[in-house]
Amino acid sequence: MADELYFDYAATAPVRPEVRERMAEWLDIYGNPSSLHRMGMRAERALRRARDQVMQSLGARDGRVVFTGGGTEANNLAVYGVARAYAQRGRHIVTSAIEHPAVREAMADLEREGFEISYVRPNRRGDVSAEEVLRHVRDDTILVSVMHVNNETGAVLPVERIADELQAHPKVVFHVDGTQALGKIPVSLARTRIHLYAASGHKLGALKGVGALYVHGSLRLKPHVVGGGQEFGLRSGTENVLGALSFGEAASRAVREMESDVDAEQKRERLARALEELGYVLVNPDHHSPYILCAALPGARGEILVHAFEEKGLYVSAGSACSSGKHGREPSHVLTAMGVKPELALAAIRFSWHPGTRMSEIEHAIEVVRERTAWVKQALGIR
Amino acid sequence: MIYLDNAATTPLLPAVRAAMARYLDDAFGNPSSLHRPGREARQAVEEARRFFADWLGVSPRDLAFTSGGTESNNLALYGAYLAQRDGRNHIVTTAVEHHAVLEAVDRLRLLGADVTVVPVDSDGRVDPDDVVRALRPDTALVSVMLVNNEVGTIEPVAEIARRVRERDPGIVVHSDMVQALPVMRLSLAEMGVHLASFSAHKVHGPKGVGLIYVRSGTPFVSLAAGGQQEHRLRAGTEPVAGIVGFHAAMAELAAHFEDHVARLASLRDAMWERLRSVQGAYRNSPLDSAPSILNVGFRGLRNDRLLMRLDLEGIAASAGAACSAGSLEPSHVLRAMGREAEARESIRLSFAWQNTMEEIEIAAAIMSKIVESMRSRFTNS
Repeated sequence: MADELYFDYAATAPVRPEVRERMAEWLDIYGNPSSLHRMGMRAERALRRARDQVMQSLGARDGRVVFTGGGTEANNLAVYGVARAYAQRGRHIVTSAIEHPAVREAMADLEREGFEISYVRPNRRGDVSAEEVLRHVRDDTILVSVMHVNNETGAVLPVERIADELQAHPKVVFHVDGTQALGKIPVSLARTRIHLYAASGHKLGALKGVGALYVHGSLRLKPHVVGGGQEFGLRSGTENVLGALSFGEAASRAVREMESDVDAEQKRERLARALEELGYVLVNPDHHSPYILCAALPGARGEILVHAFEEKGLYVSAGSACSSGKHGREPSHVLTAMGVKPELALAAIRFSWHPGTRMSEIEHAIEVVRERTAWVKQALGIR
Repeated sequence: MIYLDNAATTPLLPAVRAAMARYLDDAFGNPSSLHRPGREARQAVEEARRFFADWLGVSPRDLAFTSGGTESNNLALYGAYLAQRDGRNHIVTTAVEHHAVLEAVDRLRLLGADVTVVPVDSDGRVDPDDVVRALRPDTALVSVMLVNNEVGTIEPVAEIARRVRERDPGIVVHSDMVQALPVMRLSLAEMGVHLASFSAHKVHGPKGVGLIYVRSGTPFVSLAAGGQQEHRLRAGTEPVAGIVGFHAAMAELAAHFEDHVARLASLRDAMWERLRSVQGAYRNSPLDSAPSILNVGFRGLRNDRLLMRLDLEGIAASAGAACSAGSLEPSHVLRAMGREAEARESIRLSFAWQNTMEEIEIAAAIMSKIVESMRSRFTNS
């Protein structure tokens, strides 16, 4: 990847070198953690260490980490798990209109089952306000579920504020989809009233196929995948030991790397200004992750730019990886919820990077964008 | 350490590590991404899918990768039941299924499913007549495992599928084939099942990867909600390196399949040949069971003590399924076989690719010695 500029960290991240180095050693821990013999115990011990590492990365104290088959499943477990466990208490849920499909589709499913879902809309800049979220909470609300960082715009949602305000509603469970937040912005669960927090390993440089759900205290949940009763009975199936170990290590490393990336905001600002000069319209939420920037060149569909950049080794994406399906793209539900017109929404591209990205790589990416944008503009006759 | 607990999990084959390396490195992309790293990841996933389609005799479109055997079983049962519950809400399954099936069926019961659990004989075998007798006009789903994970009994799934189809072609037939994949040449189309579940770590692949077969046209709604991955059968970013490892492991087994199965049978037979002469030894696995599993007991000796002694001597075995974290519950399989007393005495020895005849000889000798010493202590005290 020497000459390649990977700016699609929100889709997935390369496996961290520290993770790769330890892989051989971890692969030797082949026991089934539920087995009672030595090989099993060894795997169980390793798994416990990984769990502690993830707890620490989340700044969590009172609770536990449940490993799942990925971020999608962690979010599914949270949303379905609360809905199934507390349906007797109420059937109303508050969420945002800009959630990832892992939450959004689960909500749509519950809606078909008769749950009532309130979708809180963002403002035109992409920010979701805590007041708006709280305004929708009612006596029969059982769950508030919002993402910490939006995967398309980078908007940071005020989860601490929401958690504080929810103290007035002690029976409402609060779930946060932290898939794009862990390792990108500070997460400190011990000081907040967040009950559930979902994370994904591969976004941090761990393997694909492992996720985690933090579960506060002794919160009761209905499991989504049932069977042998592993993971405190909340997620059955032989644990993905290798995946979990890679998650633990990658999470610790990612958080440390983030903490030492002191000029993160300058790097984002540098890219943002350069794009603006080239005629891009930016999505610029007031509260944003320093590692995601969504921009659109009016008149040029996102895919055209993705391919034009790729020819020079710069990888970005047109929207989220999950929605770029084979059947042609639909305008992003996130941008649509912000009131962005379909033509402009289809022009949107996403740059996403990570704390290890150097200013020189940002500059290099800007050079590619400048040259390729001129080419695309000429080809499409954009002025 | 002599590892004879391969039905719980298996060590990775060396070729698997090598195959996975590239997908931890340059081809780390998200298979749904349009750019080079994404496309390479996509290609690896599709190659794996084509390999399994070929090996299992089905269309690649009918296969989806999952996070493991348990998830595959859950997806299959929920998926087929929920898709039909307006018209059909009866499920037929057996008393000897894995917990991934039994627990899922229990959950469906809470959602309103009516469940008939078909018994087994003393060999752990289901009688197809019993299955057919259990069918009703509102039967949605029949789920019968192919190879039992505790005793290795091979269930007559093909015959069950055929007879269910003759009775009512609208009934969906699922089979948990997690323990069959390492030891049976499977042709799903011939077997006539609609749904089947598989796991990578039972065939020397990595943990955290499974496979589900959903024949086109089968009523199915996915339990995993989210993106549109895996033909919309299972949402979530695909575990690419794991899938590549699964592919590499199965390809290696497939390349030597007949020899591999024959070798397992000779290991199993050698083990039993040596153990049968030990005082009080008996065998729970039928003679025609899968060659990977030998379930045995020693009259009057508790399996928890025996396993502890074995572990101290460097032999890893188990009392049955590895699940339900840490507890040694008497096996539901042996109890269903009418072996109530044996359920507290029996252990499962399970074999795989890496085991050698030498290991079997050593393990058998150690086991005989332990049993003798436990007996003499018992009679002396």
